[in-house]
Amino acid sequence: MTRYRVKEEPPETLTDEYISERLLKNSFIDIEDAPEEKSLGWVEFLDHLGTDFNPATYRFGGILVFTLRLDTRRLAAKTVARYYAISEVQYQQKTGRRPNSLAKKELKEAVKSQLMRRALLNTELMEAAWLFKENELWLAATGEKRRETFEELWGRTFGLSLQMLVPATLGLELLTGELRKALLDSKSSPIWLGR
Amino acid sequence: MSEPFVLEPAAFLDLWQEKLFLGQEFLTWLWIVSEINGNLLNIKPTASAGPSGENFPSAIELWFESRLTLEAGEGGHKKSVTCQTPGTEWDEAHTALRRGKKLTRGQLKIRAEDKEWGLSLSADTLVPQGVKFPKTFAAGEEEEDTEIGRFMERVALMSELVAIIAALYHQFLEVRLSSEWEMKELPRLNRWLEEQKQKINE
Repeated sequence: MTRYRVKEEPPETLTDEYISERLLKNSFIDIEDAPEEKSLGWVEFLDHLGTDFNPATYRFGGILVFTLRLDTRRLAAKTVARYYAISEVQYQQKTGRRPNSLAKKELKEAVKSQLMRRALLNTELMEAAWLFKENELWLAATGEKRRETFEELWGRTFGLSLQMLVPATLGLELLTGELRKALLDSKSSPIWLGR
Repeated sequence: MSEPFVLEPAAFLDLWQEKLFLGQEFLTWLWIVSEINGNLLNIKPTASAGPSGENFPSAIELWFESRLTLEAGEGGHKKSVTCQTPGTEWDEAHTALRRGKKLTRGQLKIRAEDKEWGLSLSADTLVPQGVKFPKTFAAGEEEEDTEIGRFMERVALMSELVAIIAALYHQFLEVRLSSEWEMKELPRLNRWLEEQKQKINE
């Protein structure tokens, strides 16, 4: 899990109507039957195929919960090369000549598109719980890449920034006055154990 | 709770990196103090404990039970040791402490009144990972039977756990950032470490 502080106070316009509209605008689009490499967007917490986003699907007491869904497809370069070689031979047989650079480009696009439709999708899900009153957000994921993917979608959806809670920032929130200053000035203990 | 400390992304990353030692020294302190106190620790809620502050436990049991990782140095010069279970492997952890290493990760249990959590804590974030949640229903009672019910229960239990860790961290910081750290606390921790060395030699 990653803990975030929502940096700004949510605006008063953050009504259910607004939240539903923003989630819908950035909702996940299914690419099962399309040749796209990637699709990123929000799905409902209890239904990872659902993108209805009426408030009953995300508001549970003082917590808003939704899920980031990321579907990706990858084609191995060798696979693409193999099928392209086949399509180039077929082109020659059909036209009696080797493809020029434009025809090569079109052949490559067509091969990639066909293979993409057949390639299995990898689905990744990350639940996010927005603890509204505490101005805190929990993401059920860790790791820099996953955090970046989530932060980008979140920012695009709500226009609010996030700051991770880590020992330094957690400490600054817990402390006041002189102790806060002492934390900012602190250095690794020069005298440690066993010395 | 005091105001959130808001930083530009680059400044945040610098601060996180610069103060990584706080998490390491906290985990190390927590481990040793729990051993010194026979796993019993008194705590008081921070302002951030919120509504759960009323039912906040005044004492908890805490023990590190496996997979201690201790490290020293940075980057290519980093040296680490991982000790899987207590017993003779903990002796290796004590030796690592004496050589200047700090605890960077550990698997621990926290018990507060009738609830017990299992978790892993890492010094770079201090966010509980791989949490095993307490059972909150008595024998004969029904567990929450809706997915949302179970989810809300978990959120409440995670909030309690996070509040307990915040309280412990606050306690640590109050000592660490005072003159008491070098004058009293470090000598106390060192005395315990010395006792462990003598136990091996016996």
